[in-house]
Amino acid sequence: MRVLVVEDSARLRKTVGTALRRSGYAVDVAGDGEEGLWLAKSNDYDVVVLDVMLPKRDGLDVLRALRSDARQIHVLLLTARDTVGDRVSGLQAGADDYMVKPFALEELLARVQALCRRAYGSQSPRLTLQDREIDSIARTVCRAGRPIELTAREYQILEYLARRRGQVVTRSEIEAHIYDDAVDPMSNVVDSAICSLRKKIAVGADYPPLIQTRRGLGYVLDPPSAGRT
Amino acid sequence: MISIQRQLTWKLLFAVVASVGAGLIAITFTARHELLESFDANLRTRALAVTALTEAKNGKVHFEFSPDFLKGFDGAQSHHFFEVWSVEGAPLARSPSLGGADLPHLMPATDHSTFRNLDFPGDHPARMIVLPFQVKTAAGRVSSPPLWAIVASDRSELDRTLNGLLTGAVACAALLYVAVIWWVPRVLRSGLAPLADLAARAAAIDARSLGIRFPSEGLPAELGPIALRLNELLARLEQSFDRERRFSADLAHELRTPLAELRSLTECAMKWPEERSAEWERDMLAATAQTEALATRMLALARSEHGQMLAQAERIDPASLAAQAWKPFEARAAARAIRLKFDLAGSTTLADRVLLQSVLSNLFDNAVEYSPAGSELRISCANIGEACEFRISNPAGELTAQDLPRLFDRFWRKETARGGGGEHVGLGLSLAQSFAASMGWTLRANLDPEGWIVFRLAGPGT
Repeated sequence: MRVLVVEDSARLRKTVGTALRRSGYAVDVAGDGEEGLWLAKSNDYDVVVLDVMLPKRDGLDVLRALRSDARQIHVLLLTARDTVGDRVSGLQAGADDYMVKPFALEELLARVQALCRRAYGSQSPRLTLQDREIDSIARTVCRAGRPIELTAREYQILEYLARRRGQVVTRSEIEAHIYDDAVDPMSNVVDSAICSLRKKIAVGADYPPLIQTRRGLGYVLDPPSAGRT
Repeated sequence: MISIQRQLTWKLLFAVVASVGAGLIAITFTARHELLESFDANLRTRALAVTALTEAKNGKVHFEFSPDFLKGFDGAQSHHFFEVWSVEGAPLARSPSLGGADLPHLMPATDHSTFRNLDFPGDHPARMIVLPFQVKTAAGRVSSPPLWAIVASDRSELDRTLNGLLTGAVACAALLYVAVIWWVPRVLRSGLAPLADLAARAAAIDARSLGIRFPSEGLPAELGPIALRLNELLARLEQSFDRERRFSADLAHELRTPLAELRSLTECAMKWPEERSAEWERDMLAATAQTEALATRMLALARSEHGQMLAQAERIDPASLAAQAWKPFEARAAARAIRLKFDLAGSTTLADRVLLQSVLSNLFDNAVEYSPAGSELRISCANIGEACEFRISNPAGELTAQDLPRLFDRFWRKETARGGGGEHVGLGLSLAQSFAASMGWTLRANLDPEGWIVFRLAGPGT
C-alpha cells in the first residue's frame, strides 16, 4: 500500500513517514501544498495523510483539487484545527477521515489501514486464502493456525494481491502501491519478492502455487481454476 | 421593560382625550352662556318695554299698553308674561297671558335687575327678570316710590336647545374617543415599525451572525445614522471576533504541532527502538525548545500587554546598543550572504536597555531570517527632531501591502514562512511592538516604493 504524507512540520513528516514505512507502507512525503498536490496527481496512492495549514497551498484547497479531478483517493486530514466547524468543513471538502494533533501513532496507523481496506472494498481486517489467513491488523499470515514468517515487504505484496484476489496485477501496479520513490523502477525487486513469497506460502510440490504468473501481464493470486477451499 | 410604543400610546391617548374633552366642554359652556345671554337680553328688552309704557299722571301710575304690545303677552298659549308691582307688593298691572294669576313675588334686595329661574305650574321651566324702575311724568320728572317690572318667559325651548347641545357634545366626544383609541395605536405601530424592525434585527445578532448588516436605505432620517453606526460597530466587532478566532486557531496550531511532534517521536522511539538515533533526540529537544519558546513568549506578551512589565528608562547610546544587539546575528547573516549597511548616528536616547535590545534583536532576527539570500540589510539610527528613530529595512520578498495590517498580529506568519519548525511562531513582532509601547516607544512598518519593508522604531531623544 502506498501512502503520501503532506505535512509542513519537518519533524512530524519524518516520524509519521518512519512509522508508516516501518508498518510496511510505501511512503512519499511533501512539505507544502503544491508539492503534495503534484505528487498526489502524479502517483497512484491508496491514502493521503494531509495537513490543513500548509505553505503555498492550503490543505483543504489541495483536497478540493483532488476531488474535482475525480481521483479515487482516500484522504485523512491530520490537523491542529479541532473545532466542530473545522471537522465539518474538512469532511465536507471530501476528506474520508479527520484526526486532530496531537494524536496517538497507533490510532493513525489503524486509521490509515482502515482507509486502505476501504480502498479495496473490504471491511474485514481478516482475509482467507484457502487454508491461509491474513490478519491485516496484526499484520501476520497463518497457515492452519501456525504463523508464516514474512518480511514487511512480502506481507504487503501478499495483502495487496489478496485484496485484488482473482485479478491480474501488473508488476508496475505492485511497484506503484508497495514501493516508494526510493526504489529504482528498472530493478527486479518485485520478481525477487514474489519468488521469495511463493516459497514461504507454498503448501507442497503437488499443489499449484497460490500466486501464479501470467506471462507478459503480471501475477494473479488464487485464480478460480486453482480451486478454492 | 419600558416600551416606547406603549408609553407613547398611553400619553397620546391621554393628551387627545384631555384636549378633546376640554375643547368640547369649553364649546358647550360657551354656547350655553351665549344662549342664556341672548335669552336674558330678550327678557330685559321686554321688561324695558313695560317700563317705557308706564307713566305717572296726576300722581297715579298709568299704563299705556297698546294692543300690538299686548299681542306678545296674550292668550293662554303665550310663553311670555309680565307683571308690575308696587314697592308695597301690590300688583298694579299684569299681562293677559297670566290669566289673573301672579308671578312669584321675589323682590331682590338690590336696586339692580336680577334674573331667576322658576317653574310654572305643569313643570314648565321659565326664567324671569325683576327690574326696579322709577315712573316718570310726561315732563320727565321722577315719581316716587319706585315700581318693579317682572317679565318671565317659558324656557322649555331654550332647555331643549341646551340639552341638544350637550347631547351632541357628548356624542362627538364618544365618537372622537373611539376613533382616537382605534387610530393612535395603529399610527404609532406604523410609525415605529422601522424602529421595531431595527430592534428585531439587532436582537437576532449573536456571535455567529456578525456578518449581518442593517439596511441603511429606506430608513427614516432619525434611524439612518443609528443603522450606519451599528453597521460600523458590527464590522469592528466582526474583525475583532475574527482576530480572536484566528488567534485561538493559531495558538492551537502552534501548541498542538510541537506536542504532536514530541508524542509521535516518543511513540515511534518506543515502538521501534532501533530507529532512535542522535538526530532523533535532537528533534525531540528542538520540539521541546519550540514549545518552551512559545510558552515563554506568550507569557512575556501577556505580562507586557497587562502592564506588568515595568520599563526602567535610562540614557542609552543607540548606536552602541544596536551594534551590540547585532552581534549574535552576524554569523547567520554571513551564512545567507546578507550584506549589512550600518548607518548609526544619534546622540542619546531614553529607554529601557533590556527591552530596547530585545526589540532590536527581534527585528534583526526577522530581517536575517526572511531577507532573500544575498540581499542587503540596512540598519540606521538617527535623531529626527527631538525623537530617536531606528530604521531596519530589507527587501520584502513575498510580503505585500495586504499583509501589513496583520504584520503585528499574534501568530501571524506569511504562509510561505510556516513549516520551518524553528522557534519562529509568529509572536516576535507582537512582542516587539508591545515592548516598545511599554517604554513609550512606537514600532511601525511600511513598504517603500522599491519593495522594501521598513520598520521604524521611534522613541524620545534626550
